Amino acid sequence: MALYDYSELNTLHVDMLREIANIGTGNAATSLAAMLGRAINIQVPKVSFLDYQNVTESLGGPETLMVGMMLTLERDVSGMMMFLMKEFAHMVLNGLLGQSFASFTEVDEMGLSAMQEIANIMAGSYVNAISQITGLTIAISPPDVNIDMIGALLSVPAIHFANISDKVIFIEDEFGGDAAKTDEKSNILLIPDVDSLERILERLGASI
Amino acid sequence: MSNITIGISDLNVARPPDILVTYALGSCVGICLYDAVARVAGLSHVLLPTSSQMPGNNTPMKFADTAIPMLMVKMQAMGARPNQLRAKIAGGAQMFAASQNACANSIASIVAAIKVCKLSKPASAFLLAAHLTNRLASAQKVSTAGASVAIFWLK
Repeated sequence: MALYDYSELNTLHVDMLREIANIGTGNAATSLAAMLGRAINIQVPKVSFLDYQNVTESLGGPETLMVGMMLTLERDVSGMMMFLMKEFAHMVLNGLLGQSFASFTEVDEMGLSAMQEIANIMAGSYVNAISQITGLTIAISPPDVNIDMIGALLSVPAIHFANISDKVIFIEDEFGGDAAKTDEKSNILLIPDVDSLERILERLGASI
Repeated sequence: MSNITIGISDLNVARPPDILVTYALGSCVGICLYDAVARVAGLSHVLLPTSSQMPGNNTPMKFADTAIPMLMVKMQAMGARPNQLRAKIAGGAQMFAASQNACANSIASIVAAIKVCKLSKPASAFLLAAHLTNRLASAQKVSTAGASVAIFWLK
């Protein structure tokens, strides 16, 4: 049976995806920690089938300003990946460039480029981990960066997947420097399309 | 007076002094219709221009070509007349440089959809702010594509 949309996944599937996300995020966070020379905490990933309204609410409301880095997945797995950071982005930039920005409006071209590089390295580690486990070949596009309201940033995947389903699978991980500080919470969203999701689960031995 | 929030792929109508508002459009498009005579307003937040790619869809509020007629039916039920309507649209930003530019497409299709609905003559579709994010022009600035759209009017 082929998946018609994401809502047909059972708890075993969700557990498998959570494990994939955990490994991916672990690798991505390790790369980030190596670049910054400091510890990065990660949380247990969440796999959720949400409509966009609920995603923006869960990330702090549609008007929350965030740094968003987006890239697309190609080859055996297609879909999108997004990195979302709030205050943590300042810390990352400071760690990389030794330069601090008072607000997001002051982040210059070099800063944006640095964020893209962060996304590139983190996504590379994340995707490599999935690729190794599943044996699937996954290519990532060069990342794009933008600083905007979370609702506006998420309109991009929303539009991309609007023809398939009203709900989208968000494989969401939280990471940051200090788990106690909510401002440092950052997110990785993995949004595979239905076919790719099926392929990943099949490779992991799940019958769909 | 109350604020009526329009979600993503959602629409609603209101009369003064209520306010219709939708947040963080990004690449989505907000379509405001207003009948100044009957004092009836409608606001729609659409994702895509046409429903043709998704046959049998049950979410008409997601697509401009189905959402606008639906919005007009709701407004006419409140006394609005098509020939008195004025339309304003906002949104359709290209959020990321390399992401597929569905927005230019979207704006053109939405203007077309508004024209099909035969609003006031000549079709008074104002392009408020397409491509709000112009990354080339303002790479250093926080883009304002997220800007909320609210329509309101004086009592």
